[in-house]
Amino acid sequence: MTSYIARRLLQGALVVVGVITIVFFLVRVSGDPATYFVSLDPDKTPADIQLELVEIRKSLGLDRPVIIQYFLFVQVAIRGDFGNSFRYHIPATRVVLERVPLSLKLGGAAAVIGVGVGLPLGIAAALKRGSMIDSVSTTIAVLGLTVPGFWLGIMLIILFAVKLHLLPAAGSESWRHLILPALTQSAGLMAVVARMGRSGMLEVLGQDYVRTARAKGLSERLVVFRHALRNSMISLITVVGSSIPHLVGTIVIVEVVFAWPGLGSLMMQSVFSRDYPVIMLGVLFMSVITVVVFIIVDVLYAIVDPRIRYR
Amino acid sequence: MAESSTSVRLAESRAIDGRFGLLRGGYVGTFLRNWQGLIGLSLIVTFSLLAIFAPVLAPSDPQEINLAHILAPPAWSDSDRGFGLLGTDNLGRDILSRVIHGSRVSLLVGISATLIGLFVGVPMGLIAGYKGRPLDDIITRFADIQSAIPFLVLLIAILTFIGGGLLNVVIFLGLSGWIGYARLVRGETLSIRTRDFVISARAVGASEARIMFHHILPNVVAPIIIAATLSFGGMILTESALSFLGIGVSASTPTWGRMLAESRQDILSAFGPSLFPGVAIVAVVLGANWTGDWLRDVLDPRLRGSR
Repeated sequence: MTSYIARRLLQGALVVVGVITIVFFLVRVSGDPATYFVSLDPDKTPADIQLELVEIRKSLGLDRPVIIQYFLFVQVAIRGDFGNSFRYHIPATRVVLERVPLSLKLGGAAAVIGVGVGLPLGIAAALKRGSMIDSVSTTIAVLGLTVPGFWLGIMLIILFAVKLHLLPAAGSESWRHLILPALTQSAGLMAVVARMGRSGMLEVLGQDYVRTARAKGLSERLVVFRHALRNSMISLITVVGSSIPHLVGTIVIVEVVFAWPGLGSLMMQSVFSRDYPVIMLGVLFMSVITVVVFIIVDVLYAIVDPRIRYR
Repeated sequence: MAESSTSVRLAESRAIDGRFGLLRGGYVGTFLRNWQGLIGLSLIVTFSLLAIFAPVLAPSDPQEINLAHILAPPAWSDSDRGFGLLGTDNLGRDILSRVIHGSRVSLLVGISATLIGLFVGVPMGLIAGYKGRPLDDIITRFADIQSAIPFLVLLIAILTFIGGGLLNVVIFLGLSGWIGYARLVRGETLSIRTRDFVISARAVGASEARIMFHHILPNVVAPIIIAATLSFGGMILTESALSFLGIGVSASTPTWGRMLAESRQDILSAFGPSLFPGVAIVAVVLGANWTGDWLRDVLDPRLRGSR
C-alpha cells in the first residue's frame, strides 16, 4: 500500500511539473504584461513609451528569451519563491496563501453538502424506485448538470437575499455568508453523486451476493449498508474523481458571483491586471489540489476494492 | 468542463447492466426514455431553427436601445408598463430578440468546439490505442497533465491576454475537450485491435492508417457520437460562463452569458433579465443531454434497453 501511494505521489509530482511548464509557456506566449504597466500620460511621445516598456520588461525580468525565463522561474520556484506580485509588490506566495483557506472552506463546505445530500438521495432513490424520493433525486441529478453555476447563484441571491432577506448576497464575514455560495458550488457534485449513487446501488442490488445475503436472512439494513453500499461506491468514486477538475473550475465563477475573496476571485483579478507571478502560483495550487484529490481517489479506490490494491 | 458530464454519463453506462431494464419494468421505462429523447431532440431542433432564422424570427433588433422602456416586465404580466413578450433589459432592449439572437453564439460555439475536440481527440485515441508504446505513453501522459490543469482558469487567462473573439473561444474551448474522446477511442481501439477482422486486414497488407480509419474507426462511431452530443451541452455551459465573466465573444453580439452578467446590477428591480437567458441555457443543455442519453440507447447495442 505504501509503495502504491509513493508511486502515485511521484506520478502526481510529474504531472504538476508538466502543468507548470505548459501553463508557463501558454501564458507567456499569449501576451506582454509590460504594456499593461505603462503609465498613461498624454505628454509622452511614442519613443518615451518604448523606452518605458523596455525598462518595465527589464524590471519584471521579461526582457530575456522565454526559455531562459522558464529555467530561471523553475530555479527559484523550487525553493518556494515565485517572485513578487506585480500588483501588490509583496511575495506572490503571501498573496495566494492568504486566499487559499477561504477557497478550501468554500470547497469543503460544498463537498460536505454535495455528498451529504447527494449520497442519501441516490441510495434512497435506488431503494425506493419510482417513489417520490426517486423523482426528487432524478430531478436534482438532471438540474445539477444542466443549470450553469453562475445562474443558480443569481437565482439563489434573488430568492434568499433580495426577496426573503434571509441570507447575505455577498461577502465572507460569517458562516451565513457561506451558505449560498456553498449551495451553488455543491450543485454539480450533488447531481453527480445522486445519479451515480443511484445507478451504482441499483447495479449492486441485482448481484448474486446481495441475493445470497438476503436469502440467508440478513436484515435489509445489513444487506444495504454492509454488502451493497461498499460495492456501489466503486463507480461512484471513479466518477466523483473525474469531476474534480470541473469543480475546481466552477469555484472561480461561484467566487466571482458571490464576491467570495478566495483563490478564484484572486485569479480573476490577477488575470485582468496581468499579475503573472500570482497567476502562475494560483494555477500551481489548483493543479496540486486536483492531483492530490486524484491520488486520494485512487487510494480510496484501493481501499474499497481490494482487488486492485497492489497493481 | 465538458469532459466531466460526459464521463459521468459514460461511466454510468458502464456501471449499469442488463438487470436494470428488467427492474425498470419494460415498456413504461422504454416509453419514458423515448419521451425524454423526443423532448431533447425537439429542444435542439427548435433552438437550431431559432439560431438560423434569428433575424426573421426576432420581433425587433436585439441591439436597439429604447430608453422609454427600461426594465419593462413582459407585456402579458403587466399591460401598462409591459413591453415585448419577455420584457426589456436595462437599456430597453427586447429580451426575447436578444435570447433568440443569443442562441446563434451558443450553438455555433457548441458545435464548432465539439468538432475541434473530435478532430484532435479521435485520431489521438486511435493512434494511442493502435500503435501502443511509446506513442500511447506520450499521449496518455499528456492527457493526464492537461486534465490536472484548471482549464477554465487557463482559458480565462489566455482569452484575456490574446483577446476573446469567436474564433479564439472556439479553438481553445475545442482543445479543452479532446481528452474525453481520446480516452474513449483509445479504450475501444485497444479492445478492437486484436479482433480477427483487424488481423486479416493487416495480413492482406492494409496500411496502418487504413486499418485505423477504415477498419477500427467505424466500430467506434456510435460511442463517439454519444460522447459528442453529451459534451456539446458542456461546451455551451462553458461558453456562457466565459461570456458571463466578460471574456467570450465581442460585446456587440448578444450572448446568454453576457445578458446574465448585465442583469446582475438590476436584480433588485427586475427579475426577467436574469431569468430568461438562464432558462434558454438550461433548455439547450438539457436538450443536448437528453438527446445524448437517447442516442446512447439507440446507437449502442450493448446498452440497449439497459435504462
